[in-house]
Amino acid sequence: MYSSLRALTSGFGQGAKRICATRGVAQITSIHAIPSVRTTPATLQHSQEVSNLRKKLLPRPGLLGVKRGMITWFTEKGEQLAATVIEIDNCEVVDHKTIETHGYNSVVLGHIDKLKNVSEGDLRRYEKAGVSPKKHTGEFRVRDEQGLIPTGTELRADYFAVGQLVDVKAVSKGKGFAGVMKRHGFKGLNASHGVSKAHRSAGSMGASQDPGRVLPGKKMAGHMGVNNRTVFNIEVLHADADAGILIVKGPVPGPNKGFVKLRDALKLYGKSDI
Amino acid sequence: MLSLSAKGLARCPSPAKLFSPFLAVGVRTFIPLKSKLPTVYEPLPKKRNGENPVSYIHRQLLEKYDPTGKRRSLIDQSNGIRSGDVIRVTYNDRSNVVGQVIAIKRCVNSVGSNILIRNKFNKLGIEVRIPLFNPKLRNIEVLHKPKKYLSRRKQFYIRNSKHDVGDVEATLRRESKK
Repeated sequence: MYSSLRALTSGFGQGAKRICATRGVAQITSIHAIPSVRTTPATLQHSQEVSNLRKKLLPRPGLLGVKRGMITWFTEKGEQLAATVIEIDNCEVVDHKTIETHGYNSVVLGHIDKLKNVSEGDLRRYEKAGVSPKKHTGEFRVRDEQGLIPTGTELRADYFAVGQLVDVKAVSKGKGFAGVMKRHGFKGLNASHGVSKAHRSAGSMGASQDPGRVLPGKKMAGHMGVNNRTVFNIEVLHADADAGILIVKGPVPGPNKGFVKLRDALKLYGKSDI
Repeated sequence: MLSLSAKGLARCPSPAKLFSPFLAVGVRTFIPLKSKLPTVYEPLPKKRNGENPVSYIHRQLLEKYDPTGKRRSLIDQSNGIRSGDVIRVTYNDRSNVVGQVIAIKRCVNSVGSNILIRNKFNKLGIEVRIPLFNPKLRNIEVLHKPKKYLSRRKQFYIRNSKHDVGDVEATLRRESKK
């Protein structure tokens, strides 16, 4: 390339002539000469429609229940398990939300009959659904309109099959202001070797003058508990619809008498449209 | 004036009440409803007759695992076994284990009650925790009740002390020979 340039400019003197030659080589076609093509508009990732496609959802809603305590459970082989008793107390479908009205499909459930101190607005809402007023309601998103169970339907404990896996969501027990060892599982400092009054403290907060500050998100002492927590893929051991009792394997977040939300195991049965 | 009084009358419940002694202090009024009150549907019938679900399921489990009530009476606070007794536990496959009771854990509303038994094999202390209502258990029989019991209901302190158990089966054999 360079040698050919040299050949082109060989007849002229050095200096300005070389610039002339490079100009000739760097010619491009005018953009106005290219016919324009209409491209398809980019999909808006933040829109509700695309979000609905992306979201991993279940075909049917779950159940609302009340945690009632833990018991011992024996399997037929004689294995001893810890199990949690969950009461399903008159859980009924109260309302629907649809794509037309809210942008997504969901079923609103209510449980535990409330006989006193119900506001007039609530009374009208339950009148419309055809169910008695409820103490607590919860919402479950479903994949499509086929999952919208008719309002007024009672969902009983045998909604879940014995042996299937479920997720249980609840608000965990409050622990108050907790130190780093309890809250984040830090190891703390030494018990001896000159450590003074800092056996359970966090240690270093980060580097020195270079950032000159503590970086955001640093794990420190603070309020612990009272968070939404979900236990995934726990087995249903027993379901008694007439008695309204559901027994699941292992522990469930929150105190006794706390409200819990149960659904089919999302990681197993959930599916997104993309 | 006449129209005003007529309005006042209309607002009152009835003309008879207007002159009652109870209304002598002031005239009672009420605000008429703008719309009809909503219908309130009757709640679904109560399940388990309102019984606590944990005690309900506990009752069912006891019927399942202990229909005769034998196991329950075994750990009865007044008449059942206590720490110091020697028991033999037989499993469904006819294997058994013998030991001295050193603790009984009694559960409320749960079938998790268990008995801790201790024995010695080749001078090595062995402890087994027996889940009382486990369906694997065939039978629990009391072999020996001592004349004098040690103090405390949970006798963990006997481990490696002068009160510790010996080879329980050998001791029983010796006593039966006498």
